[in-house]
Amino acid sequence: MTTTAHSAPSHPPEGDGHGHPVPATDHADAHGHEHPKFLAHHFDTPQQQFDSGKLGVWLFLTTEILLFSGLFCAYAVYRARHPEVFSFAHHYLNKWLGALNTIVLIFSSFTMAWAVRASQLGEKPFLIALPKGKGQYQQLFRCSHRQLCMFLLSITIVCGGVFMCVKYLEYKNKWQENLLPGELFRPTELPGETARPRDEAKPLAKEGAPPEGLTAGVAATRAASQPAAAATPVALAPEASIPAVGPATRQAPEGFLVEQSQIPRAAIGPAGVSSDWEKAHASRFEEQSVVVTKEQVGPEPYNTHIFFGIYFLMTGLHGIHVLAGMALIGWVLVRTRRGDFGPDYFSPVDFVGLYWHIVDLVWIFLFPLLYLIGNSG
Amino acid sequence: MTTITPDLARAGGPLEYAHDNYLTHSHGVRSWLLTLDHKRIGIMYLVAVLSAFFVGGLFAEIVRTQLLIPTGALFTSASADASPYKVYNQMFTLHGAIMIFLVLIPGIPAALGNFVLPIMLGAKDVAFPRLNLFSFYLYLSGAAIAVISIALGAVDTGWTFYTPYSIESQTAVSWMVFGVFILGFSSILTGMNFIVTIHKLRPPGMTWFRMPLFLWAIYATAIIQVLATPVIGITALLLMMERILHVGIFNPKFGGDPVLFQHFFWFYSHPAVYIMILPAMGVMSEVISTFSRKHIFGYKFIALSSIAIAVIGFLVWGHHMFPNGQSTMLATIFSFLTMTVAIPSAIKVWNWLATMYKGSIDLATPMCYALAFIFLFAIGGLTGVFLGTLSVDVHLHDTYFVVAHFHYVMFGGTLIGFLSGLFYWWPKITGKLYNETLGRLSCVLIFVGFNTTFLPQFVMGSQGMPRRYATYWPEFQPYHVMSTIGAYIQFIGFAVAAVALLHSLFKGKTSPANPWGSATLEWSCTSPPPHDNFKTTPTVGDPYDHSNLVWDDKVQGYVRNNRLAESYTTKTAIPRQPKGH
Amino acid sequence: MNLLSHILAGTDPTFFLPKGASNLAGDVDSAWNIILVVTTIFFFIVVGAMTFFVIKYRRRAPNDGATSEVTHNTPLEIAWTAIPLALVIMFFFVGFKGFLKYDNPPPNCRHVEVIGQQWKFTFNYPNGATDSDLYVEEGQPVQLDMHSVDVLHALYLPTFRTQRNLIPYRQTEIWFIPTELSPAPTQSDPGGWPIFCTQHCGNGHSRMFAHVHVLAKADYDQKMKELANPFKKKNGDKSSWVPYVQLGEKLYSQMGCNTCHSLDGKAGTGPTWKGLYKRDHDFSSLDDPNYTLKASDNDAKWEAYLSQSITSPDAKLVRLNGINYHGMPSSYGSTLGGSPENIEKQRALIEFIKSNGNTGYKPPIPFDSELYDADKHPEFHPESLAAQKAKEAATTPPAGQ
Repeated sequence: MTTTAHSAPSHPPEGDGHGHPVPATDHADAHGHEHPKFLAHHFDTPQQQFDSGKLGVWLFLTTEILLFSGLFCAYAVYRARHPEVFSFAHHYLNKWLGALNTIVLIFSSFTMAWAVRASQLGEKPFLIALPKGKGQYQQLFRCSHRQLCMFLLSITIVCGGVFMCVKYLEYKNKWQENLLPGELFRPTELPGETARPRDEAKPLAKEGAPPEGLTAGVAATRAASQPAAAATPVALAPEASIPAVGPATRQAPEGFLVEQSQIPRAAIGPAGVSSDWEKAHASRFEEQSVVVTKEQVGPEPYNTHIFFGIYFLMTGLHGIHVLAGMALIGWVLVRTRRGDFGPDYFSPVDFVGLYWHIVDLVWIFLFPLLYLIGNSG
Repeated sequence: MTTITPDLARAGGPLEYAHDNYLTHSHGVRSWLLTLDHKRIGIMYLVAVLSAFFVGGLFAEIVRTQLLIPTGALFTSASADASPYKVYNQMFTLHGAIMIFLVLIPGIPAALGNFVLPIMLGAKDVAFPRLNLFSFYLYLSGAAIAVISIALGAVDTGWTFYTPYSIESQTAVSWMVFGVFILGFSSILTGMNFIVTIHKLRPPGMTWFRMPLFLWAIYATAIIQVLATPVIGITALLLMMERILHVGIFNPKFGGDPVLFQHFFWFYSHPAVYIMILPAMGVMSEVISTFSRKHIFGYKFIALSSIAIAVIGFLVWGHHMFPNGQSTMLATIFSFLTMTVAIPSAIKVWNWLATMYKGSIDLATPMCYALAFIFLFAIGGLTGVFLGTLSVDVHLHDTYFVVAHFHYVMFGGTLIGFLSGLFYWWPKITGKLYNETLGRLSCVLIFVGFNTTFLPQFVMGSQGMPRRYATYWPEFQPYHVMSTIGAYIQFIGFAVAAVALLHSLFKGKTSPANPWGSATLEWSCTSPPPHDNFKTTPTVGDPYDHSNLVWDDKVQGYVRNNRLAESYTTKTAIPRQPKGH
Repeated sequence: MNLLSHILAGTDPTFFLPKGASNLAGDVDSAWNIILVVTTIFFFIVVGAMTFFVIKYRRRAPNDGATSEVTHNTPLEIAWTAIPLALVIMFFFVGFKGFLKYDNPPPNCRHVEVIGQQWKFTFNYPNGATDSDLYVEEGQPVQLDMHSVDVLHALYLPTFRTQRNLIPYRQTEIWFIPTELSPAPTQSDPGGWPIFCTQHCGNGHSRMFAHVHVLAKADYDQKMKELANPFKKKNGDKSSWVPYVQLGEKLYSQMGCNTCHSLDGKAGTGPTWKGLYKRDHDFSSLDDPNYTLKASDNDAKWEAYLSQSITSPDAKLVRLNGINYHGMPSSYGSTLGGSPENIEKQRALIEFIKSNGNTGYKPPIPFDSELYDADKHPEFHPESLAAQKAKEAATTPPAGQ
């Protein structure tokens, strides 16, 4: 990943981090001050500042890991209790798009790491040359490492942008098919089917009139928490808006297998006692079976919406972090252009790089857990 | 070693004689609002925390007044209709949320620690001054959002926000938990700052085991802040998503698990109580050593016990949930670990007592508060043992016994520690001395009022009085009346403390650099300190070596006297000097 | 509601603990006592030492120093770590032993289902009876199978030393064997021992309590029979039907209607029942957009509306000043619909509502009332009166012939 400061050619010898003053003659910068421009006044040496910053960033990243850990915990708890939900619902996700996102992020980590190295090398030239025989080289391309760093940082931002675009496509698909968390979950398709266009569903209910069967308590909460925004387009559709499914003849595309765990279908809720939500959506849970490759594998689980709650929360929080990372890289890019960084001082690039790597790492865990659940259920 | 130069030694002179200090270094509102000076940030935190304490205290007085009569003195309903009690629910929720998130958690680390830590360490500032200022503004933003939530429909769920009631409550829960989310980040960034400062900005000679114990305590606190607070962050986020988007993660109506919320919540909130108490214990180590004029006993054990509390504190959260639906096995494990976490705290108390043994004890105001701390924290800690014992907890859970226990540790522990530290470092922060009689009077009043309020609550709790009740069965009334009277006495006590401190700002005597005779580094710079703390990095010795500090009548404070140090041996007692030397 | 007199009437309440009247109380109380003794001793050691040191070693002059510079004493430090550790571990085992009892109910427990809702408890007995108080038989193990239907609640029986949370859509259980009879009800006092809700559940949390009555076997059996059929009451050895209005009044408090609906006109969470019947209402209706309900509408329409607003509260919402008020939680409706008994209870409540604040209300007559006897009360039987008159007219010659 990141090269340390020690291998940089013109870096001053490290202090011991405990405040022993470094002789002024060792400062190799051109300013001639006792304190270089980038050195804050409460630090004694640049090395102390760098070490402090590094420790600070690692502490911050630890807190980021812990922030996500709550969600991973929720994932673990719900998956352990309802494996059939996860092995059914993950088919709604497109694992090729997920894989694309993974490759994009890993590549962006590579360009980021290279950018940190480049910012360390400052104005030293970057050459691409062809050997011409007899120890001679044909120079193909030359630029300063600073310019290379700017280029690499831009590529990293672009990769982040590609990631977010793919994410947008996935989210759009979920929105169109009502594969949304909690009570908004009204899929207009089963996995593998082509989605029915949204407008074909029956027009949504008038605002202010909650559907029958839904508890008043819930309706009241919603009504109270959206007093002015009554014109919400996703007010609950009455049950009839879900296309009635026919008998067990639904076909999945060839080779597409919908697994069902051997554990009996969870009634509703983590401990299996019924809830009102289920009664409200009862029509979708008539004894339908999904016929896949001409075999009946069993009905759709009741709690599929749990998967989407976790999916949106985890990928959403991760997406926010990607956007923040892109902004940070942009800021570092601006500073690189200004010439702020060199062999003496490149810590912002280093630290933003560390942040970006953590963002990548979180995705590397998210991807298999959400997209690659696979045959073992 | 720094010696006090003669022209600082004038007693009774105006503040300007303490040459250019951090208060006079620059002027204007902008120089305060955009300051990077940790001392000014500390003062701003202090003002904010004390204001929040006042508001939280008002809510407490309202709660106690309601409970004077069994049917409710302020909010009552003659029929079976329960809606007037919603206001009572809002009152106790706000009291709890404000006290915990705005006063106790930031309290000592942000308000006192920010000021004291770099100077005590021997550094010019914290590692990340701009981050420090940002933390302060996050605190203000979180507090502002909490105030907004009060205006939009004050929360009535209890500060614990248990689901599903917090999902269905028709109050501004999402706003309040968003405020908590922001405050969490303020706490995290402060913790980060302190950890890096202690690791990287120590002066030469200050190894880990030559650091004052207050810094060990702050360090352990900062570790908890960094590791635990993100979990309340994600919990707050999830609760908001649950309310706004009905994600279904905690709401059983959508297949969610309300007990999971409790696990997430307490995974932070239990370490949070150690965030509150550890700095107070750090203050105790400093105050008791200084006012016993004796080296702290068992330094290494106190230091390591802070770390032990931080670590074990992460493993015991389930003791808040014994009858709440977790499995028996889990409850058993948590109970066992809860018992072990009591031991490091006990070790500290023994060490403090051993420090006082054969010391030279001066009952100045900070020491009075420290003694009150030992008394009150002993009760709080020992009653925690009742609650950690499984079978007894089933009887005591969610009764007033729990309320009394946590007030003894949070108020009798953290807040009394905060007051002790405030009175201890007040001369350093402001350069003024307060009236000792008023200070000690405030301690006595608060101590008497506190015990009058909370001792009866143990009894009514074990008799079966549940908590969070707006009305109650008449046989509990005598206890409640005593409790409320104590609350009013406390109010007077705090008023006296406020008078003592505010009066000192205007009319108090100028303080010397070292009025108490402490050997830690912050007492070797002027009171108030100069803008950059130390002109050159100081060299450090043992922070608890009082042997060469002598009282100087001219300075009206303690100064270092090298001659005395040369003749001092550990085997003989320090000769009693007649006054005036 | 005088707990103190109940405490004093029985055995073993202490300064700290109420009377213990179950098989679980022994372990809890002995654990309490052990811990109390040990912690009090330690408290006095700490505070005593502190006070003693403050007095004996007080500083008399500013330069007075300490008389000892000892900073370590390893044997002492080990001792004061090991002894408390041993003690707290001992406490753990004491507590654990008692706790194991909580989770091991005997197989012959009588099961009572407990449903918690905002803001009352409902106890459903094995024979189909239901009541808002808990009745148990002395000496018989009882297991409470509990769940909530809205938010978290908790059931706390201080006298039995047990409690547990009620979780929505999940069952939790507690069990106990009552060992003593509870105080009997009197004129001013419902009797029994308290049951509190100890998990904050909203406005009515402090009002959400019940009583537990421990009865001897004969009384218990009698009570169960009584509860099983709320529609009949005993007069000596004759049983007669309870009039609807009277049953409705009982259900009004038993089913928790009183927590939201007042009878005296005071506004509350729900509309007051005083004068509710045949009041002009403004509606928005889900199933019938043209629905209106006026004071001039007939009884049948009003009764149908009241019935529907209990079982499907959101179907017809009252609109006031442009705001649609939401209906009540469906947890109430589900207990008043479905079976014929529940329909009867619904009927009773509706009649009670009708009777409230409405002059000219005529209550329906219970089946076995003697008013049905045409001979005893001919004034209520016009057809037989007319028949009588017709008989008279037929047998009496017209005047003037």
